[in-house]
Amino acid sequence: MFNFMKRTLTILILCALIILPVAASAQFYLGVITGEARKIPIVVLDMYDDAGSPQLRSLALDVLQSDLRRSQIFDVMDPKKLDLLSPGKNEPSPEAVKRGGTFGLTGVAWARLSRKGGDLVLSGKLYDGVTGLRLANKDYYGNDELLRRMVHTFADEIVMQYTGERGIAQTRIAFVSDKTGKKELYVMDYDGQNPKKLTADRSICMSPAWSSDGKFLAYVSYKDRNPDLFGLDMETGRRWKISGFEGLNISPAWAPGSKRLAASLSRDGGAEIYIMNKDGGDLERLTFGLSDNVAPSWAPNGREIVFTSGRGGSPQLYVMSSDGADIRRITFDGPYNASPNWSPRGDRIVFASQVQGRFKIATVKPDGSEMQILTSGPGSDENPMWSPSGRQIVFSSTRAGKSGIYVMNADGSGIERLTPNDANYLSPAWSP
Amino acid sequence: MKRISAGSLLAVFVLMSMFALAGCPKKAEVSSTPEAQKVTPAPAAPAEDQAAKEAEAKKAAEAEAARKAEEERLAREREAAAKAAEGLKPIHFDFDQAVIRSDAKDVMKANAAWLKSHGKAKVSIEGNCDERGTIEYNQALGQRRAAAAKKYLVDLGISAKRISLISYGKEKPVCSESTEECWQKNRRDDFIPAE
Repeated sequence: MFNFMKRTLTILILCALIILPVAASAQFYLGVITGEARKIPIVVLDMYDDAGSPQLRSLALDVLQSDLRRSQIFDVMDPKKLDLLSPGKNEPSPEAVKRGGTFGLTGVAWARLSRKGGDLVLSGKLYDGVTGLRLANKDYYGNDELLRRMVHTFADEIVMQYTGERGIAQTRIAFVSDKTGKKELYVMDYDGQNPKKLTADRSICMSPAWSSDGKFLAYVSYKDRNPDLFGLDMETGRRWKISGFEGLNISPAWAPGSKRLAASLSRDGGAEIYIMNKDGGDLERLTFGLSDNVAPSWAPNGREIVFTSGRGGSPQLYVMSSDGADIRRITFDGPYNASPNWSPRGDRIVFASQVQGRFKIATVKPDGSEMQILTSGPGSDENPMWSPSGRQIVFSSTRAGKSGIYVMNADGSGIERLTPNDANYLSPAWSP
Repeated sequence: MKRISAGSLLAVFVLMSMFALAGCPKKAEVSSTPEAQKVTPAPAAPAEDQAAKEAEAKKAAEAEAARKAEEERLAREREAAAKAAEGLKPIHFDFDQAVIRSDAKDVMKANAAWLKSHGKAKVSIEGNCDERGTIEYNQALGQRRAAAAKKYLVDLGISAKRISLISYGKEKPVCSESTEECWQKNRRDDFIPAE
């Protein structure tokens, strides 16, 4: 008997070892981004107002639906068109959820705003449309000012349920604007809300870059009458000079998962790419080109760097190992290809490519194949960068006159403007 | 034998239940009591945090002082530019090039002569580009333009110690239209007398 039980137990453990990983991954509907991935049909049944504030309620509903749409994972349906009625103050019954399932809905979300003590509470629930089972049940505590952020957190929770990846609704975009007459650094939510000024250098600030943990921004400022590299701690506000050699100290890019960064310095004559610590120490020169080498961007595994170089007679993209070896050119079409940014998924590089005198956003595989131009129309599109999910691209464009910041899907569809037309907005950098 | 089977089946049932629970962490965590989460604001924007707000009045005064200082600085710059206009003249470049053109050579000779006759004057060479081209690549191009002019002056006998370089890329256009005439004006080196 003992032997029999032992054998049964062994078999069960083996089965469990085999089944568990499958069961875990089976919960995620979308593992990787693909061009034609079918979006998940979802509906926000209601945002019930139990806080006595119809304005907050309609804002929260609008933000939640926009977040789900912007995630590029969901097809957000209108509950009214589906003839789904709001269940009122209490969460919907499994029958009501399953009624959504009969309309082909995979996900059904429902939320309620209420007040508890001094707190505003967002109760967010997510159900499976087919079985009626509750998949997520969260209460977010905050206040009126934090409502957007509370809703963003719930939206990311929903994205996490279906993809197993962090959503982008809580991310932010750093950028440069000349709103005050001088180019200063700013940061805003990923949907263009809550812009905040970060610098008051009254000089020229440019090229913000986030560290991979989102704690630091590196940027260029002319405040000491030279283009120097600075660091800014986003939690404490502490600033420090990273690199201030006479001449260029420009185009910073933090290494993934590291406190080192690549940048272009002209201390040895021409603009060359170096790697350094966040205090500028332990300097290592990577390029020895005859012409300008700028705008490094790291592969997500940290093993390679793509950059712009004029070594071939015109600005083109090159890839090298992170020790400077094995340089290869990856763009051959077009007179001017620059400002590369490596996708966090590793599979493509986005950059600005000159087409008939104006820059358009393009992508290419790291091996130089399958170059695609994504944008068209008037104006110049520059400084593209991927969202942390790799499903969106942010860039600056002069298509409407002044330079503005725009977001589009990775395939070039769904272009949306994030900034107003009162000043120039440029050099967007999407936070991790 | 029957007894053994029953015991095994019970064990199998218990173990399967355990694994079923372990295999569905998502469902298990979704109880009727919602999971509470305190939502905190994004890290404060350093320039606009609480302390900054308290010191708003002080800041406004400082800003005003800074604005005045800036105005004075701009006035000094204009003065310097006017002074430069008497002697030091800008030179212009071809698109995406940092080669001193033949039409710039006479200007460079005149600039060198002015520097020789003003032996104590130092000069800052500011490299500039037109709007076509990326921000970062234009900064590098502007640096090369400034460096090319420095080399030219040094070859004409001006001490390298008197010359500093700065590239503004496409940040300091003197003309803002998208025409070749305007772009040509922007592709330039300015020579600013420095103390």
